[in-house]
Amino acid sequence: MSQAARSSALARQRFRTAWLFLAPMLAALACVAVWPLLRTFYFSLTDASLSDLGDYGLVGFENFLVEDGGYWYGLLTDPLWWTSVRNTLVFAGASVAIETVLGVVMALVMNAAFVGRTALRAAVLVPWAIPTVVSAQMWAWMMHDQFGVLNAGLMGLGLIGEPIAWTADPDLALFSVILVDSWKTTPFVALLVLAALQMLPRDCYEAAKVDGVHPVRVFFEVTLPLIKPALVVAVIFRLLDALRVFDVVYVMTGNAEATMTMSVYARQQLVDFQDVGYGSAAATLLFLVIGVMTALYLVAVRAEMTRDMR
Amino acid sequence: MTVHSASRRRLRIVAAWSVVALFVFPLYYWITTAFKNARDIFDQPPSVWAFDPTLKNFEEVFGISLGFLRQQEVLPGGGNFYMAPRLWDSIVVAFGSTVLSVTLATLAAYALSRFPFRGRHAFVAWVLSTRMMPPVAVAIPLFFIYKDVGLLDTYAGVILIHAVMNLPLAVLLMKSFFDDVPKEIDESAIIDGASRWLIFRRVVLPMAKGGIAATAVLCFIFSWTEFVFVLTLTQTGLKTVPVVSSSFVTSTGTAWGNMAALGVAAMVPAFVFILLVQKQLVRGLTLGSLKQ
Repeated sequence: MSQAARSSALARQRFRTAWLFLAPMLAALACVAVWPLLRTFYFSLTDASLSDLGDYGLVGFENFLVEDGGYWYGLLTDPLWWTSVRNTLVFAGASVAIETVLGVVMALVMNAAFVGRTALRAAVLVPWAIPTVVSAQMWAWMMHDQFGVLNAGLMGLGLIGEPIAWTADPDLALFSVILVDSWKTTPFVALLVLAALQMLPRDCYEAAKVDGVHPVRVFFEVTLPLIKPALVVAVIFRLLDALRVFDVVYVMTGNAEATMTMSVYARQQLVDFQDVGYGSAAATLLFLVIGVMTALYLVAVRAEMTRDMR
Repeated sequence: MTVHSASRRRLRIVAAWSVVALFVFPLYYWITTAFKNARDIFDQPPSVWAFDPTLKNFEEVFGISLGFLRQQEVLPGGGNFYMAPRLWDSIVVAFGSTVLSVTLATLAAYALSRFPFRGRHAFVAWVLSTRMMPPVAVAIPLFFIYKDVGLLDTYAGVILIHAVMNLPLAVLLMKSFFDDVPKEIDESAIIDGASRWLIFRRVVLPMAKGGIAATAVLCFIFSWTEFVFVLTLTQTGLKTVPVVSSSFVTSTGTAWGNMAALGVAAMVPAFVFILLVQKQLVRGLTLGSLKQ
């Protein structure tokens, strides 16, 4: 056997071994993730209904947009859908912004505290590790308009004159949900940033200290650029989660219009209204919106990074 | 100078713990609510520190008498939810899916860490794309698929989807832990004539034990807290704690005390695991996210 033939045989064998290790995971993934997702895409082109799923026909893109007698129908003409898109974007933008800023502050504070850092870390991890349903209910109770401790506290401090209906008031409901989500996930961002902070070289700070640079300037000109990669990762992960948000909204405010997100909208169409075709169309669009947002974000980050390189 | 820096240091510690207090207060308040009787729960203004502790909520929710702690009979029927079996459902699902997820992820991550084959770099893109998958969009078609193959309302069905849901993160984490194990170890073992499988099982796996523990903890917590899939794919056969918990809001009002009691039970794994494996957990979380 020639040298080349032997090395290619070896490469083939390695390739086969690699696939043997990967196969179980790929099989599981294909069955319960890829297959259902493809079915969602397919159902979005049909008029299927939950009550009789065997009987449906292809309707093309009618679920998305269709013209009938001079009027337009379909998902893209439904004002509630656009409300849910707006709510989702507001929720994602606001919660990720709050979590990033608070997370950095929290990480800086934790990094500076030398006593009990381990205990600190454990304490802030708890909100992140308990079920979202539980934390949503916990906050719903604290935000209760009559018996809630939040209203009592704010009134005690003289900040508000009368009890506020945090989750029932359409103007405040989305804000309340964002608050709860921030409480739950800020610790996650803080932990990622803290890890990055602990890897920073000490001498940068020593130099800045010797030069008498103000701590705020040190943060913006030394620390922030160095922890940027960690922040980018944290923001991507949080953004992807925030755009799909369901649990916290569904538990705190149900199907209320003021807080309806794309996931809640899709579930209502699919389950409550039994409209599999239409609901699948909503789910497909949700998937596309998230994909586009992620791509845009990654492109923006890459552009920023290359600019920094220059 | 020293006085100045000592007071600044004290200030920092105070600041740190105030931040923690802000985050921990809701937990404290919810936990104490679970131990309050109806009168204290609806107290005006809300009683934060002073109340008569009771185990009534727990007894009602779990349908067990905690009489060994206090002499009292649990009333049968009315007001009792008997959630002990649901707690068991949660444990079975979380444990089963963790074992499955870690097994599949470990195998796959080893291949990704050791074999330089084409398409390996598409991996990050794949992780991101599965994170984009809206659970709602997968749960409904999965409902029909499960109905056809008889997995609806079964442990196996929920365990399977929870395991798959956790796979991307688990693979990412395990790959980073395997990357830490030097390749030379594999290579010298191959020269000694060991098979890939033997190396994987006897050499690499034991060296990545800490990483496996961290990954398992994350998978367990994510399964324990998952809501949409269980809500959609189960009816009466099994229910996990988040789903049961969401059903406490009834037309006759909300049983806040009972809800809090179940919520406290649902927090227990979080506390236990954070105390036991906090170090690996933090390392796992950060490694998994930073090392790409």
